[in-house]
Amino acid sequence: MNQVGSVSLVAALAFGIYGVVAGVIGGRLRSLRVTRSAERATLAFFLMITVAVVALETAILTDDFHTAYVAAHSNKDLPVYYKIAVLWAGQEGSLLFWTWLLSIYGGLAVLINHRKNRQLMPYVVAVVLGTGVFFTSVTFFVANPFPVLNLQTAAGLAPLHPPEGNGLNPSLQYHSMVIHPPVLYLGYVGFVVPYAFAMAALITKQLGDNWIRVTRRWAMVPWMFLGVGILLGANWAYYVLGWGGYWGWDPVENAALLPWLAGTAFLHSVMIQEKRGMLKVWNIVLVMVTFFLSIFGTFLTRSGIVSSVHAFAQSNIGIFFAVFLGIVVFFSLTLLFLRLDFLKSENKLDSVVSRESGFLFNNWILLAAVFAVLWGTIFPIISKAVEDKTVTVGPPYYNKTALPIGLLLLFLTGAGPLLAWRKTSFQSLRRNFTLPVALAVAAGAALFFAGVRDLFAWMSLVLATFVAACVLQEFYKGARTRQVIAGENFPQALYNLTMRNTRRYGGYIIHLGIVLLFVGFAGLAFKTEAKAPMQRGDLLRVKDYVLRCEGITKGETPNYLYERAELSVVKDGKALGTVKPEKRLFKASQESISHVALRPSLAQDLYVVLAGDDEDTGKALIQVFINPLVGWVWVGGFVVFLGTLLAMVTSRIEREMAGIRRPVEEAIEEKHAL
Amino acid sequence: MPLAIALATAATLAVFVAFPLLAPDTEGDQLLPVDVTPLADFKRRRMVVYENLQDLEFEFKAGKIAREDYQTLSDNYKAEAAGLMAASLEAETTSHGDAWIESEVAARRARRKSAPSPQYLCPECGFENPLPVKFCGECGAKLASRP
Amino acid sequence: MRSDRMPKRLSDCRPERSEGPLHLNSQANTEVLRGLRLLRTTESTVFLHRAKWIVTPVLLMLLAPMVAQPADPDAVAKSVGDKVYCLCGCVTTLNHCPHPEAECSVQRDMHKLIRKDLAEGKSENLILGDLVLRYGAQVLASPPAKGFDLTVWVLPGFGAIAGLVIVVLLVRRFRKPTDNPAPPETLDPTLLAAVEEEMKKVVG
Repeated sequence: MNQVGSVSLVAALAFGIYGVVAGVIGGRLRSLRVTRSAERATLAFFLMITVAVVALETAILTDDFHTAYVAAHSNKDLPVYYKIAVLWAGQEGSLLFWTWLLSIYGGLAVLINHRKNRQLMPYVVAVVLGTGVFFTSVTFFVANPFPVLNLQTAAGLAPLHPPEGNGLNPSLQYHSMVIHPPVLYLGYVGFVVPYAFAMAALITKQLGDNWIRVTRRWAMVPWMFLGVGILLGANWAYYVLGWGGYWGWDPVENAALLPWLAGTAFLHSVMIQEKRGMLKVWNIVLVMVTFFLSIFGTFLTRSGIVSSVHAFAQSNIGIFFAVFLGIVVFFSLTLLFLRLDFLKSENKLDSVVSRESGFLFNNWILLAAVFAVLWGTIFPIISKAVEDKTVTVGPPYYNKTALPIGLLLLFLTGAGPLLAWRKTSFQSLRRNFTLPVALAVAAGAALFFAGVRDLFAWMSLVLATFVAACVLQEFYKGARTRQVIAGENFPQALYNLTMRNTRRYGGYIIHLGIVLLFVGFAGLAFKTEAKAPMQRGDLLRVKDYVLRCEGITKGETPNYLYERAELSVVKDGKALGTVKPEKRLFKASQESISHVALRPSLAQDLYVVLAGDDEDTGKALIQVFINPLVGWVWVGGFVVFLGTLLAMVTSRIEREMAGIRRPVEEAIEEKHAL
Repeated sequence: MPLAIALATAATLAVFVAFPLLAPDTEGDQLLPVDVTPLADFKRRRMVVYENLQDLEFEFKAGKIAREDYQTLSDNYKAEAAGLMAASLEAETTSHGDAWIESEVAARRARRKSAPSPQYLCPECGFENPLPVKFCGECGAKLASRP
Repeated sequence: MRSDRMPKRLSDCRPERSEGPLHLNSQANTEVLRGLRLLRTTESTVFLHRAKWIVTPVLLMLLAPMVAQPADPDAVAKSVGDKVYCLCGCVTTLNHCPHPEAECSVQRDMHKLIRKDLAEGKSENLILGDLVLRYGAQVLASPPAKGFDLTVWVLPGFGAIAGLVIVVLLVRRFRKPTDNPAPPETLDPTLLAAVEEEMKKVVG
């Protein structure tokens, strides 16, 4: 199996290099045959990487501990679904997996586009496969998952077959951990496609809005995966790490947030180019930044250059990524400067108060957020280099920089869509803003009198009211108008309104999801926690909950030993059943981890942790958090997900646009029959 | 055994990749077709303006936009569309547009050894199918019957 | 090795003055206002003037919840726990250490120190100072705002302002010299007719 893996990697590398060369030649000669060959190389690259992935998964699933990677990250009694996840549990496997996802995106991009964008395709293939060649090389030469274990004996090397592996990192043994890395990777990797199209457009000088229309979905898909992946990670942190929260501004969390923010800016900014033919250079820069940040994120995550809660194996792959990033930046910027003349804006800004400038401010804020987060993330490295001093930049920094930016962003989420394209007069503004502002003021007063004193939470909730009112007003007004124009009933009108322009109304739903996320974030301000050593019969009062310890039990499964506390919960005199927090000691890795017991509800979560044994009393240490509104974070994430899916549905407008794809091609073929 | 399968897969794929280059060359080396031509670009930009106009109308009816804004913007958009229309007409009527098409046609003739078989070319939409077909892969129109 | 990094006096290692998020928010607001003022076009000033019925309540609301937080020991302990890193190797703040407290001796010791200081009635800043004396400056979750470390706090603000200036310059450059579009009468009527016709065909 190990030979199979290595051979397939070499073959993939060969196809990748060939594809890059053939793509460039095909593009330069405008040769259909060479381009077709390059396109086929993308598929061949995908299939060979697939063979390598299958080889590694086979080794994992058959407990082949002769393979070093399997011995280091798996063990016999690991349940099958965790064994599958062993593929991305370690450095080497992760890189292979990353490459595989890249090859899937590349293959799909070729299959979907090769008949529609034939001039762009050779260069798209070259860029995608160029990235693929880099990752395959790192996987093969630097972090190869296929070496086997050998024992140095007097007679030379003898193959070593350990009877058991080291096991999977226990904190990864949680259900959302099985899907969190793949989803997040799908996000990171996917931005290569819009980047490749942008580069192809630059090279071929086809700098209208074609590349943007083609890559709209190709940018939305990774954006969605990245967002969902981040929230799955937050969910995992909340359920597994046992500190009662879900976001700690860890470098690896930031690494995922950065391309997401830049991608958000890109998805908004392209609309100005589509609608008004402006900001052509800026959009290219944004897609470059997004791609750069996703490679940078992979680099941060994989190189161990910054210390992180995601303590992956540290290795020497950092330097390769740094070189690759340098090449990407140099190549992209050179190309951009060579093509600046072709990127003239088609229109001018009519007014300062307009949707266009709304988008510009949205871009400004998103990039300010990118900058603040990026700076905080890399500052420890810079400080080490400049002053040779170890500093940490943690939550206090981000709370002071990112939170105000977040609130400003939330405000624009509601206000932006209310501005009309080109020019919005004061009268128009008043029509649209009166209701949301009035509601927000009312909510602000109500919250203040209800005793909300935390500024961030108060502002979040006030702005959330404002944005929700803005968005719902858009839906309501739109549907009412359709009712009048088309004579439909309200639900019909609402449906047709949405389906006619899925992108706009899908976007509005995403904005509603963001509102819910902020409602969830605001809940952090109202967190209550308590901690007490407990044994059978002890009571613990937290806010309006009373917990009674019903006993502590110990036991084991094939995979781990556990200590479990059983606590009955009473709230406002009503029995709510029992919660059973656990502490698990994994046999293979000898690491222990808390297993949180949770009673979630949309109003508040009861979050109970068994934190081990108290050293003074010998009783079990029970930690209880009451976390209001956390559930809305997950609900909000789901709404964002649904909104994104809706925005990807082909709308009527788009079908009309697709109808005029190649009128001149027709003219050539029809008038001048060859 | 698995190793043999992997090697066989790699070899098969190599043939698959090289096939377009090795296949008998009946048509000559064809030129990659143009995706967006100047005329198409003008037309598309007009479409965008129409879309904007439609949206504007709708938002006006929805009461989101004051009457004077609506009037100015609507005039603005129409002027923009008229400008694009003028540019488009000019490109079509003057030699500029024709010259572009002629050069494109000449480039294709130069590459091609013979006329493309009607099995490839759709008479309806002009799409050049990658394989000989009975029906156009793009618009579904019937192609000239096979000889 | 750690001793050379250890500050000589307590005041040296005092973290940045703790200030409510309000401070930054109002700062961000003045930045926005300043940016808007930069535009200096009559339109935007008139607009701001007319928009005061929006701006005023928003500003009032920003200032509304200025209420001092009472110093309760649990709150102080929690606040300290958010501002220092647990040095057990988990790379999270003390409050966020994923290890069960009973099994993480570093975490336990840090908590003990904080509890002891609290019992002595020390303020939050003094407790942070004690933690720095014991564990070195890297225990702080964010570096104090002085020396080279000041850049970590200042640069994002500069970056944001620079970005705003760029946006404002862009807006000014992109702006049309006049607001008045060519009146439709001056356009070629046949062109307009062609446009109307094409639009009918497309829009249906």
